[in-house]
Amino acid sequence: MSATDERGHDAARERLLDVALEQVFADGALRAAGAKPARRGRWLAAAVVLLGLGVVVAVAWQARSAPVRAAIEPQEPRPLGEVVPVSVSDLRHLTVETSDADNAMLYVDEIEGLSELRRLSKLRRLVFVTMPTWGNKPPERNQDPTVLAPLRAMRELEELRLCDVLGLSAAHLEHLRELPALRELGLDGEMLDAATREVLFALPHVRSLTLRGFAIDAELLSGLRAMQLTGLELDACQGFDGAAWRALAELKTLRSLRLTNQDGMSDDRPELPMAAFLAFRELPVLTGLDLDECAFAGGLLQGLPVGLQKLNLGDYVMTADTIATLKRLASLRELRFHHNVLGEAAIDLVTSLPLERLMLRSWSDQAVVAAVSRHTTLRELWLHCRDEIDLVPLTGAPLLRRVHMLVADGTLVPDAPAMLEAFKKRGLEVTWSDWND
Amino acid sequence: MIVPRAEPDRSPPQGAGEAVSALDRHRPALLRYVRVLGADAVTAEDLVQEALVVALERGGFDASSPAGVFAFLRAAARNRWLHHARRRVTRREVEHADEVWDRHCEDDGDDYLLALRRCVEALPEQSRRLLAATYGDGLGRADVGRAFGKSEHGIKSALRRLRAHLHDCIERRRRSGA
Repeated sequence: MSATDERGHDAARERLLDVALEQVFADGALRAAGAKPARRGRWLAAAVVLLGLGVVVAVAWQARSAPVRAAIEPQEPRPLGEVVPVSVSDLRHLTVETSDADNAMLYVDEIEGLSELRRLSKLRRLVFVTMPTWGNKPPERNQDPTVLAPLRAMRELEELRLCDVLGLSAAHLEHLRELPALRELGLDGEMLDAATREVLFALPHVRSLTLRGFAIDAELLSGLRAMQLTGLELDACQGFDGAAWRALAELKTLRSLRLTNQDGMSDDRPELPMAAFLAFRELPVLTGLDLDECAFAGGLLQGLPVGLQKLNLGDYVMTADTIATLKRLASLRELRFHHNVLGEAAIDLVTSLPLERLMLRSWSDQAVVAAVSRHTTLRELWLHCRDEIDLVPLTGAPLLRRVHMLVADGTLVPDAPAMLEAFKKRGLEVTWSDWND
Repeated sequence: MIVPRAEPDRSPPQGAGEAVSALDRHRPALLRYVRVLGADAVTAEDLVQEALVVALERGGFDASSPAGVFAFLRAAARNRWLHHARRRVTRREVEHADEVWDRHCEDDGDDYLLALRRCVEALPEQSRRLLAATYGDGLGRADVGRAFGKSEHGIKSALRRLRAHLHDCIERRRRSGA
């Protein structure tokens, strides 16, 4: 079959899946099964009720077990409790007595109820997310900075993520100045004006910053120097130019850099140029680099800093040549990459590096499993599994302690009982999740 | 325009209601077929309607042979699509679509649809919700991204992985007859 024929068949096959999915999701049975809300309003109401119930159960459980946890937990650093999901509109139903959760995900389905944030004053981690609306109108973007005033009472808050609908202005961020424990901050939005930047730069304790979706520039990146950041994530940001890359190179305290979704699909987010890789090399203590969903010329991988210990290349399609350049990263302890098309080259790379954590981004075959099973430093492995593969050989890897399987179809491989028994005997912890999650 | 030649109706008169009913049962499969050819949803509705009218005018169908009826409807719809999209679609592209249809939808696509439904039902809740938002509610990637608190590209990647999985799952289910 010619390449043209193959493309024609692929396109028709994708169209068949498109129309079949539309027909399946127009089907009442699947709606009833929860795949799609039967009526949007009704689904939303049910979701809020479920979230409310979840909060009641989770918070009650936490309240009941708090003394036990206090007795058995190590003191520093204290592990966080389970994430408590709650919608803003449900906050008013929490009693002060039951609101001692320390880790919450807050769905912003309305702005008015934010005043009830005071009921969650013991939070150490708070993530605001936009409520799934299924076509219903989301809340208007908040203009009133006082809605975030209750954050001031969260004296133990260590990590905070604010979403765009909350509104981001200097007055909003002012509330964060007084949070003595705040070390990690995440912001979703589009623009940071000069006044907002000034407040951001002056936040005294933040050392890890995530900016998602923002237009950035050299001035913004230069301003971040004042924060002495050790971690920076710039996800789906736009506006990188030569000056911005040079400014990034001046963030000399960065240990971890996540620069994601620069995929070259639009002019706003072009492929990573050589200037980006030159900037990486200018960061003297950089040990972690995440380039998930980024596009760049393969030859630029030669410019990666040799001191990297963690590297995520996402689904970047490697060639045998580019993968060979990774072999010089002799300090790598953690690697995440797409290995499927590489065969021997991938195996050669995996076995030549002193990796402790390996995350393989495509279906693994028996040859990869065999190579990993001979690895002498590997402690943790993530791999995508399908039913044809026998994982029992992994029990031969001497230091391997944990295997996380990403499985298809919500099911485990058919020989799971035998495999789990072998893993148990060897003392291997095995977890799995669906690869779409 | 090339359409199946209308033969004189020599069969006993059939009630119009029965004929419409016999033809209309093929409408969902015919819509699928026309979409696989490349028509958008609105055009597909028009083409299917035209094909059904042609068939109705022709009359004299053997109701005991649904496959024969569908073959006629399919030919009529294909010819109308070729005429409608003659400036941008080649016969070779239509042949590709026909080959895919013949390979995956030998029973008018019902088996494919059933396999897909089972694959979707076996997905975790989060994945089903993502598909429902995209293919049921018709939200764009940006809107779905906002609803799920992910970037547009994250949604794109998730859908790409999901679709690859569904192709694979459908094939396996159809091979095994499950």
